Amino acid sequence: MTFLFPALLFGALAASIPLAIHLIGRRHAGTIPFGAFDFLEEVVLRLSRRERIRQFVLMLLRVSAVALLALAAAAPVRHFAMVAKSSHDLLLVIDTSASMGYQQGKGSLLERAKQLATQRLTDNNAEQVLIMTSGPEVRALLAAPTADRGQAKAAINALKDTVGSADLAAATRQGLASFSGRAVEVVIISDLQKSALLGSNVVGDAQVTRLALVDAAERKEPQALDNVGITELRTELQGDGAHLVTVTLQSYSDNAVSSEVRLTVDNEVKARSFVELAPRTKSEKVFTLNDLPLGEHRGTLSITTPGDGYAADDTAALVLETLREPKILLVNGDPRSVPFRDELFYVERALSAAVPPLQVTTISHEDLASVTLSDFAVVLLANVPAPRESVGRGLAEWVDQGGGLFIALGDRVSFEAYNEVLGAVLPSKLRDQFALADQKAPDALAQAVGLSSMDWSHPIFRRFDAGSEGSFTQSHTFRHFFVENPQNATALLRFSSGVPALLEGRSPSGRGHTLLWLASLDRDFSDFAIRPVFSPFLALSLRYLGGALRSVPDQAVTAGSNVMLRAPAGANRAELVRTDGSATPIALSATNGNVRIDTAGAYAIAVAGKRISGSSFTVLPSIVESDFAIADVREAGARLGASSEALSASTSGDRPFEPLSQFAMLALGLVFVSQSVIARRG
Amino acid sequence: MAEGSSIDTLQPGSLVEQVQHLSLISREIAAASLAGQHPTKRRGSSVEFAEHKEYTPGDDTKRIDWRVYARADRYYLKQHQDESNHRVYLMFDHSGSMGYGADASAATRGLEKRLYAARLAAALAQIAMSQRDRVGLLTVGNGAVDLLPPRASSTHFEEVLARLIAAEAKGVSDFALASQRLIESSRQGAALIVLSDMYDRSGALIDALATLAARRFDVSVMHVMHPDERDFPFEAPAFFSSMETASKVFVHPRLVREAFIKRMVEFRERTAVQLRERGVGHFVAFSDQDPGPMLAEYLVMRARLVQRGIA
Repeated sequence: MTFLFPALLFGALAASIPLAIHLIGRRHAGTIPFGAFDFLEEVVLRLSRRERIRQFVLMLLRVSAVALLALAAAAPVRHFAMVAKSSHDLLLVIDTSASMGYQQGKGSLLERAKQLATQRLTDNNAEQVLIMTSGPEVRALLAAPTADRGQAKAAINALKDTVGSADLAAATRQGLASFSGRAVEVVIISDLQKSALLGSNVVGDAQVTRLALVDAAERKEPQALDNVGITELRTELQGDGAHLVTVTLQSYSDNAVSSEVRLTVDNEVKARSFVELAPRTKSEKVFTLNDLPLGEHRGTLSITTPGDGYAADDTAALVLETLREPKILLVNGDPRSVPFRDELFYVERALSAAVPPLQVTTISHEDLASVTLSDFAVVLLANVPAPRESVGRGLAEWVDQGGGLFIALGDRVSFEAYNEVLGAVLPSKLRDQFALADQKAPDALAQAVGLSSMDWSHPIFRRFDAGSEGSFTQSHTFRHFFVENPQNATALLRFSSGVPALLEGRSPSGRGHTLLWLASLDRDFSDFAIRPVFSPFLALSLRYLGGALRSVPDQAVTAGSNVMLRAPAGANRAELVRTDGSATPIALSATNGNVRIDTAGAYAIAVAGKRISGSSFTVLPSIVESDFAIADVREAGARLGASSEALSASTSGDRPFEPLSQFAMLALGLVFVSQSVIARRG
Repeated sequence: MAEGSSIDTLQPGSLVEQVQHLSLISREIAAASLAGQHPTKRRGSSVEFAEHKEYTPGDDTKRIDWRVYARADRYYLKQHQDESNHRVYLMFDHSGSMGYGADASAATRGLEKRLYAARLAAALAQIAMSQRDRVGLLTVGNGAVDLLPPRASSTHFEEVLARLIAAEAKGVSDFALASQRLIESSRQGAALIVLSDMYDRSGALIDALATLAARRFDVSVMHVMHPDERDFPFEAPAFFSSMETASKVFVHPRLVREAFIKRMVEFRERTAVQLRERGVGHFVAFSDQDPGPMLAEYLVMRARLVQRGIA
């Protein structure tokens, strides 16, 4: 126990006044000769014993009354010896991050934090106060430290939103900067998440008399608040047109919990399931959606967990797109009457296995000039001799307008003619082919190269799992072409020698793509055509070129992170459109398509008011705020720079000190009542 | 110093003036209270005519002088020598406690008990002597008894007053001795009016009065008290000392007031009962009361007691 005004304890000396009055009064009492003295003496002697006891008790009560009055005036407090005894100011830092929206009992943690802050303002005898909040940004609720408690309380009451993550250290540092050279008591009211208390040494040279970390959840034990959140959400369009929706749930609770998972698409509950979660573990749940019509479908994946007070990470938006299959033109550069010797023998069989089936048209290279390219989304040139110049120009224009061109080489390809006629669409200039080994030679396999270094982030390879990598690497390529200058192209796949095997280039307009395969698609150059991955590789490549693979990640990004948006070439401005219809302009030229998104939900890109097909994506809530494990406040306080004497780590949300004056006043009241009763009975 | 005692010690030349003052007051009191007569138990033992007295209601009609009535058309009673020579003793207590009220320590404005009793005594003497009674004075105090035998001469009254003034409140009273002296002085019995505060813890006073009552004395007591002894109106804690011994005690008046008042009521009532059981009349007089009406009341009460056969 300590005192806010210890000097007033000297007032306890006044307790000697009743005793002094008694002694001095008796010494200076006069003498009255009294006629009926005998009777008076008789009465006094009869009352004497009882009266002496009564007088003694009365004197004790009166002495106690004065002492208690002095005690109450000295404002005794319990708990903290470090309460500023002299003139000091108060810095209140209130956590307004998303996690403060946690519902506990009838209100949120923020509401409780506001109550605690108001209580502090009332209890604390600081001269001036400043209130800082820390959400996505650090903000001062008052322009400067003020002595106006009413103004401070009004500012606290006005607090509403809880978004983003808190940086309490930054808020404290910024707040302390407003108190130049003055003693400051710092009170941080938060849910004390570890992520909010990562800063260090914010105290610096400031005169911090006390640093209190107050738990707005008022936990008796350092236990995490119950919460289960969605940490990951992936959607994948299967070859058969089905959508796989994979959700990962994370339990942040210290107890085993059961969550109900519900998938809603187009306002219809499509699936519902329960997931059992051990304390602080993850669990994955997969839903399959069949027969979704062509087009975009929006929905939500939500979870419900008993005892979970944090709703922000319980719902994730979902966008599913069933895209139209592209029309594909296969151009055979080396037709043969013997089927397995035909250039497209393996290609056609690979594509026939694709699910759903691709719309494929096959022509001879001699008919290429007569084909209307705009009827097709994708053209595959397989070992096609260099076409006429006019055909080459037509292909270049078609690609520039958004067409997808797959060029596979072979022994009928002249690199010089290709460089000349198709130079505009080639990702890189070709060089001559190089034979690594003769396939019929006994050591051919040893001389051949495999495929490696695939770009797993590319939409084509993202759909392969790790087990399929062997099928690429174990293939054998005996002959392949080289490229001259691959710097302007992207190598999506390389031979094991490091030479690019698959290059991607974009047309000058940015709308069209070209994939250059530096070997043949039959068995003349390699045995890749008979590998298991050949069929999906080819189908995915052609779908990719035809825009039937989404150009944005299927895996939802998290709020607060950056998303690379791919807008049509030439568009300088676009809009980010939310599910609710709100649109945010984006200067593509300034951001290069790299945009930070802080709010969870479903988004799409629109240019000139028109939404771009396949541009929808979802943003998950930040999981930084999901873990309500309480930080080691002593360690965190020490890291913030508070001395051990000044640090007050409070997990119970108690006040900086527990006033005891009311007890002294209560005792004083009892003393007065007792004194009155005893005196009256006398 | 007490009011009365300073007159003869410091201003002996003013004795007459003081007597006149007292006698004047006594006359006033007598005039206000002379509504009845002084009856006697012994009737008609003497036939010598002394004077006429105008009839007043309550007088014995057998003693009306019808001859005078025939001449004057008014009723007069014949009074004989024996009736007017009735002896009246005044026993005046001037012990230390009777001096209470003489100085500023008293809480209320009541007269000093001794002075108040002296005035009553003077008035009673005046009344008695106006009825041709012989008045004797017995002053009791300071351990001594002083007896002034009864006489009816005009100078005797002044002697009575002088002794009353001279009786200084001091010491204790020896009532047993006073009783003895009285019995020796008057073997035939007489009227005895005791003026005292009755503070005698030994019980000697009650016994002495009982003895006198048994010896054909017509005894009545004027119990003189100061209002402070009735109300105990003190406030400040103080030492209270005895006026007759060296004892003293520290008292918080507020704490003892109720018990003291109750005790004094009990004392007065007990005294009254004890006296009446012994055939002694008892009348309480507080020194803040106007002595005239109070004395008249006493005389009426005494007349009733006499009629009922109690002194």
